[in-house]
Amino acid sequence: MRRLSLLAGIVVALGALVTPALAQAPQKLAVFLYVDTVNGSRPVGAKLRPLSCTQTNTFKRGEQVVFRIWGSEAETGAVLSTENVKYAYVKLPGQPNLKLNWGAHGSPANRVWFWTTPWIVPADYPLGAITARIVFKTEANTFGLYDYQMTIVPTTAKKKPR
Amino acid sequence: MTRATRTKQRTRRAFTVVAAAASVLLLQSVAAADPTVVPAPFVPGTPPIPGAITDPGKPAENMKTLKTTPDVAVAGTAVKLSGTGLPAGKDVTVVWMTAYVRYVLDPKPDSVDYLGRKVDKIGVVLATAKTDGSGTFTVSVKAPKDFGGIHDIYAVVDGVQVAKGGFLLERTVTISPKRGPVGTPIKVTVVGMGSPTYESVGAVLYDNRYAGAVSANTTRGVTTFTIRAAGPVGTHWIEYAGSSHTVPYLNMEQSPVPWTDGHRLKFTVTKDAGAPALWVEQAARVRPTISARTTVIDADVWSESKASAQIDSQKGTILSKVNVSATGLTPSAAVDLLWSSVVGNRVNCTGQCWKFTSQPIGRATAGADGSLRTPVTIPDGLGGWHAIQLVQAGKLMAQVPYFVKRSFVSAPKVVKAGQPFIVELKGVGWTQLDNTLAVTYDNSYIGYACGFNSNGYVRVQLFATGGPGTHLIDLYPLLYTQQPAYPYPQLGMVPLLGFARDAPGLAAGYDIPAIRLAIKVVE
Repeated sequence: MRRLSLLAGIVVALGALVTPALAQAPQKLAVFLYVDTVNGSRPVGAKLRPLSCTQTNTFKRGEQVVFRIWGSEAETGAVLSTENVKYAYVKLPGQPNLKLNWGAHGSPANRVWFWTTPWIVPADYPLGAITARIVFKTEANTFGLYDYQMTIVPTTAKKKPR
Repeated sequence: MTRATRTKQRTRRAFTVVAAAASVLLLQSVAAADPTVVPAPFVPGTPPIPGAITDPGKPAENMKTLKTTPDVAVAGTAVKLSGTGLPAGKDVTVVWMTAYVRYVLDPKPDSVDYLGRKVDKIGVVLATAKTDGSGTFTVSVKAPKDFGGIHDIYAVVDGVQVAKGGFLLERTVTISPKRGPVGTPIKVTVVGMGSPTYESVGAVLYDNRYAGAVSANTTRGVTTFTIRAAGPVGTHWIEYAGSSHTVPYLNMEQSPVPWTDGHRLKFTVTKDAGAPALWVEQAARVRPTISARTTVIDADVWSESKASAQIDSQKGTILSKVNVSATGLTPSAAVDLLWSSVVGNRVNCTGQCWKFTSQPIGRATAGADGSLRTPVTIPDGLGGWHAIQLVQAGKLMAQVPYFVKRSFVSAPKVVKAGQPFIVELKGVGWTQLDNTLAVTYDNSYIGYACGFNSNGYVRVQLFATGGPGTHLIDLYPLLYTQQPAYPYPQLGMVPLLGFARDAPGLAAGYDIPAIRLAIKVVE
């Protein structure tokens, strides 16, 4: 699992490095990010899935998306936390920015610290592919950016036999 | 041992090594594919690309969302698109993201391999508008008849995607008629097959028995196909199930593409009116889009030849009589007419599995003006594309391709329950497009038969089951995806129910029918 995470981290880091200079993207990318999403346990207007907190990047309208991010500063290796991050947020098309929160998750015996923010997919949110941009700014004035792809699908009704 | 002997041995060893390396290289070159993306042939009824192809633009830093109402509907539905908070007083191009799908083949002189599909995403202009002074626009469009599934929509201003919308084009499946006697052809119409891999195949179940797979890659998500009513009098269920490759994906609801879930339709068998007549259902007549034909090797024609050959019919069954004519031959000289084919198989072989053969099919003399017109009879052998070659004084002067169609030979009309019986065909080919046929019994896929090793002659060994009465046997085209096998070619090794409108071979002139038979089973 650790190897998988490392691999994912490398992929994400490479992704961050090759992220095109969209609009006002900073020149220097000095932060490594790992990003994923899981389904939250508090959907609004969508059926609760049998299992929550499962990694997925496909969400129905009304479902709760939880962004999870781990990161570190490339130069120092320091883990990104409230100690060294000025601000961090998720930017989605047509939505207010979602502030990322640093916190502990999991059972008391097995707590893990990472950044999260929940998002309920609005009932009228556009279907299809969307890009969530993850933005971190550190106290050292370095940036971490990652464009995370997701797919929004409708809540489907079972077709009746005819 | 003398020095000369040692040198000779070293030379021999070196030659052996070089020969072995060369043979390995040769084998590799035989096994390696040379993918050719074949343009889609036009099949009548295929919807056009729903707008002019355009650059979909680059995403804006602060992208807004478009409101699409409704955003889940079938083709033809009136849809309203609106955006707010956009740049004021600007021309807006509403771009509908869709795809262009083609098959990938490896056409070679000695075979054609099927390699899969190529999907190119494209953006097309769905509508144009202008934002008002407050940056708002609204347009009304009809949902295009296009590939099904989710289409991203972008409002593009000055090459920038300023807002994003989306639309789910729903799949519809209808049948006609809905009732009839055993053997009734049931036409199934599907609109909204998707272009992505996991939305591009439909799997057909008849009373929970697997009948085959359907695609609509080159027909832009729209197709029709036919199965026949089978089984006892009463209700039967036809399921058009979501699939990713060939068979139903039974938990599609949990997949990333849940909208491809099953469509279930009821058909009522009204009576058993006896076995329906033999029906050879032909594929749609289309113009092939590539000119490569097996056994036709342009480089083999004598470089100084000025001859050209024509034929009065390009396709037919074995033993067809066709007239070959030519001009530019050596005047008043003998002409040998040869039939180019192959012999071998894909099974018991190492290295070269089959080779070219040449069979005399006629001899004539060119006229004083170098012209020729002579009848020939197509040999009883492998189906598919062959060359008719005109040879003078040992030189290949000209050649012309001919396609041997698959044909029905015989099957019993009445069989005792529990008894074996044979269905015979001829003109079965050898490429991955036409070397095999898939067999269904009462709409249930039971196996396949191959014609390569038996030189196009196939004896399908079947077994009469089911209660007394009419039972249906359908022989469908099949894509043979083994020997050699390539990564991930969908639709392989199962009945290609949608063969008449969407099949990889259509672009290469492979006109392969479904042969529909029936037997009466008696006690």
